[in-house]
Amino acid sequence: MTRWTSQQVAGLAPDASSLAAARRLARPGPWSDTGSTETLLWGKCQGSGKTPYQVSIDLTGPAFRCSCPSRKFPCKHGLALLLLWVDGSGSVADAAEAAGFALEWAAERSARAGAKAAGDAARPTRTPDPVAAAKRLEERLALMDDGMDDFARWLTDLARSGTAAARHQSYAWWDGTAARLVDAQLPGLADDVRSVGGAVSGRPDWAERLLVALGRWWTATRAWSARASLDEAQLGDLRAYLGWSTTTESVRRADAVTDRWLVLGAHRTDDGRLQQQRTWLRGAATRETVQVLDFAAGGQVLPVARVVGSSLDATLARYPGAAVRRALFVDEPAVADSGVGMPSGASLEDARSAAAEAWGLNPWARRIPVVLSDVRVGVDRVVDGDGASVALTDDADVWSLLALTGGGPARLFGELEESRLRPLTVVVDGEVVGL
Amino acid sequence: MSDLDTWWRDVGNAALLGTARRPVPPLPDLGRAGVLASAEGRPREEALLDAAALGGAALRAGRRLEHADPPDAAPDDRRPVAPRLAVQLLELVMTQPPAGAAQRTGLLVHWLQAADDSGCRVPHALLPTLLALATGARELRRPTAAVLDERGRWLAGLRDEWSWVEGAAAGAEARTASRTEGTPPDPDEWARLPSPDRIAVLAGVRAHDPGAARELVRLTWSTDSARDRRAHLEALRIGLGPDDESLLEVGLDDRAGTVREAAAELLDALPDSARAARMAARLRPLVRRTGLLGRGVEVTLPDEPDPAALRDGLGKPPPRRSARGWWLEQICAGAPLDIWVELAGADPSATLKRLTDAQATDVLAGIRRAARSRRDPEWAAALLERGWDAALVPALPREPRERVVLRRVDATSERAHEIGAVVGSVDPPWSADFSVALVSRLRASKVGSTMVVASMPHLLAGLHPAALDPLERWIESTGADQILLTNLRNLLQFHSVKRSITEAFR
Repeated sequence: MTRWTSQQVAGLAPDASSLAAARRLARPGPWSDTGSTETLLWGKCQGSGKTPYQVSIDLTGPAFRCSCPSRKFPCKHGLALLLLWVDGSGSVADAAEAAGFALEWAAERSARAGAKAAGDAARPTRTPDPVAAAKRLEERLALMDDGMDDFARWLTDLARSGTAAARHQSYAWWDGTAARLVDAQLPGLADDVRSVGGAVSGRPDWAERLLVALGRWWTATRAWSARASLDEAQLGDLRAYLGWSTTTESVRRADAVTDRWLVLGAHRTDDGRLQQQRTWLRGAATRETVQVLDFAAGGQVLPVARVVGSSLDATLARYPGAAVRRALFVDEPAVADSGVGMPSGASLEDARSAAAEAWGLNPWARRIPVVLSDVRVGVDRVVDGDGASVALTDDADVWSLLALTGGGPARLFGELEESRLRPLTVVVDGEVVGL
Repeated sequence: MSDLDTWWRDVGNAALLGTARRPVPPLPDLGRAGVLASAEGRPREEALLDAAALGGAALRAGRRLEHADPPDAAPDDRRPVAPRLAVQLLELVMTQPPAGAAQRTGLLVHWLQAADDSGCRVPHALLPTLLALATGARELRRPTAAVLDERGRWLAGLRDEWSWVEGAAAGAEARTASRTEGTPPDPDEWARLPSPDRIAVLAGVRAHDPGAARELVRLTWSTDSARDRRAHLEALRIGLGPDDESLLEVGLDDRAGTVREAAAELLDALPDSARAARMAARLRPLVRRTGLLGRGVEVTLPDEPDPAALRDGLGKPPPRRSARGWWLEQICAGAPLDIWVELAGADPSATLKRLTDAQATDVLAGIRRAARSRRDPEWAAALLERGWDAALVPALPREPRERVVLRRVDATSERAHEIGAVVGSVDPPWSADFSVALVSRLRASKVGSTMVVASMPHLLAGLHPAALDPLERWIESTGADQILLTNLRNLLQFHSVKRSITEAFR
């Protein structure tokens, strides 16, 4: 197996300090019994204790196991071993046969996967009571109907008295509306109301933003009352916006597609309460770009980030939707190739019309994934070969981008959000770098 | 303004005031888009919300792209990127300082200088982090500026917080050339260099070619400010020799007192100079042997200085000093030390013993200064026999110097906090023997922990790699003293990372 780049290993680290700790360990000193095969990488790392930690890595996942007590995942030992392996200076040699502890683990893993597959296959036989389910659905729909009616009345009241008056309302007023939406099981809509309400007093462009938000909310109420006429995809997008979740089981059963998926880029956010990880994948055959979302709250840890620029052989189940669809991995993907790069990109004008088309299909999509070719990065915007330009989002890591590209043309992957771009991946000298 | 723009503006106005007070403007003809206006007779507020929905969608999907000139690109770099292993070490030092956060700057400076010495640059991806660190720590700025290369300088030019780079980078090349090869800058460049860079360049050139550095000082002597003239003279301290005398004599006639003072002080270090001979002539009549066997020495205070003596530095005394005592000290500091052998008829050690009269304090202060500035090993040894003076230690040759200091370390165990000044009197980097001996003494001492803390900066700067093994053994055997353990670990890490950095650039 071709060894990865240290950049790719860095992308797997749960946080900066783990990576730094791993870099310290990534020297031959503390390691013994190391080796690698096509799929497995293993070694023993002498820590502060008496017995060395046993580290095993399944390179196809990648998946990690380490006997250390760290709650970080992957832990510094796993990352360090990968770094050592990537280093290629001979400290981790290729072996024909994996070490005992690594083999055992690999066997356990495949046994577990088999058992899980069997369990999944067995599960549909335990169907829940259809009568009770139908009753629950009916109750929920009634609750949502009432909530939507209430919200539509609130919107018309606001339109009658004017947005200038609404601007002077306290946050509690917005929050109260949001709370009623939550009670009506419309949490997605409630989040939107809270975020717009929170921004209204402080922003210079508040009037247009609020007006556009009113239009969006109104569209949601109209779409909801006309939901009988929506097709499954349109309803799926609306459900996602309102926050009526689709169970992963029903997603798994419905629309799975097997393909070779290229990891375009990823973005992590942490609002202190909830960590979110968004991974964009493009299918080689389907040519569709989907997003996989991971969440972690409280003490949970987000799953390991996929290596940007690598390809995964996987079956993805797509949530119902018309454009910019969400998907989930049906089973653990296998790394097919760790460094194919980025697909060729488009001009900004082409990207903009592709985005407009996507928004035409799914008006609720907040961001549209785009690959841009030959764009030059400036301090607050990117400019393409035609001189067309788009501003960067406030959270864009513009200094890293500038340092890497030096103002020269580069290929970028990012998200178009409203009229701005959030760059997530850049290709420099043929190397794919996640930002 | 198109119909649609006018309409959207009117919709905005109606929304601000509310439909209770404003009507909703009718939708303009959108042609092929095939959007139908709201049905007649619908409530105004619903018509407004319809308009908001429509406008929002149009705004998002239909907004034309702005056009802008492409940003200026960075020029091509001129240096190769640092070796891969070195880059990993830089990342490590920046993100997770291995010897504690306090030691990060020291390691970074070492990395940056090693990179500069081998003509490398920082990889592009690490530029933002490095610039941010150097913005916060001034001592990193100049070494950072030296290895940014074109991309880094270009990047720094884009951000106000990094505007210091321009100034720091201006002299970087001249500094590098002078430090690594002793190449003096050409006269025009020298004239334009900012003051701090000139000092660095002087130091660099001086180490390789003292004459060339002296010529640089002469070049701009007539136009430099008094502060610069003084600083340039101070820079001549490196490699000071008889050839510098003529320039220093010019300094004695300078219009600025601070420059005259610096010139006199430097001439103190040249016992074969004309000024030293003049001082000897002033000293001779003041010293007289006493006693039947001529074993006593008596010194009388000098009279008011004549203009020539004034020029040689017998000026206004420092506060709370008697003028004549000060003049005596100045004379003793400037005269050749050999004259004492002639006047007292004894070796340095015996001479010092014979100086017991009322003037002895001033005389000894002068002799002390002379021994220090000339690095006279014999006199320094004789003076050190009489009492500890860290400033005299550098005058001794390496072996006795280290012996004296180690003996002092043993004697200092009662006053552990003074250990810093003691070990600091040996210039870094230390010899292997001294480093190993010092570590073993610290380890054996009952107050080793306090001593390590007190001498930490010097241990970081001076310790020879040969002492790392004993250090590691000490760490393994040491017990529950957490402060000691942390300090020793930091020390070990600092030196092993430092060594790795040096090796990575080989």
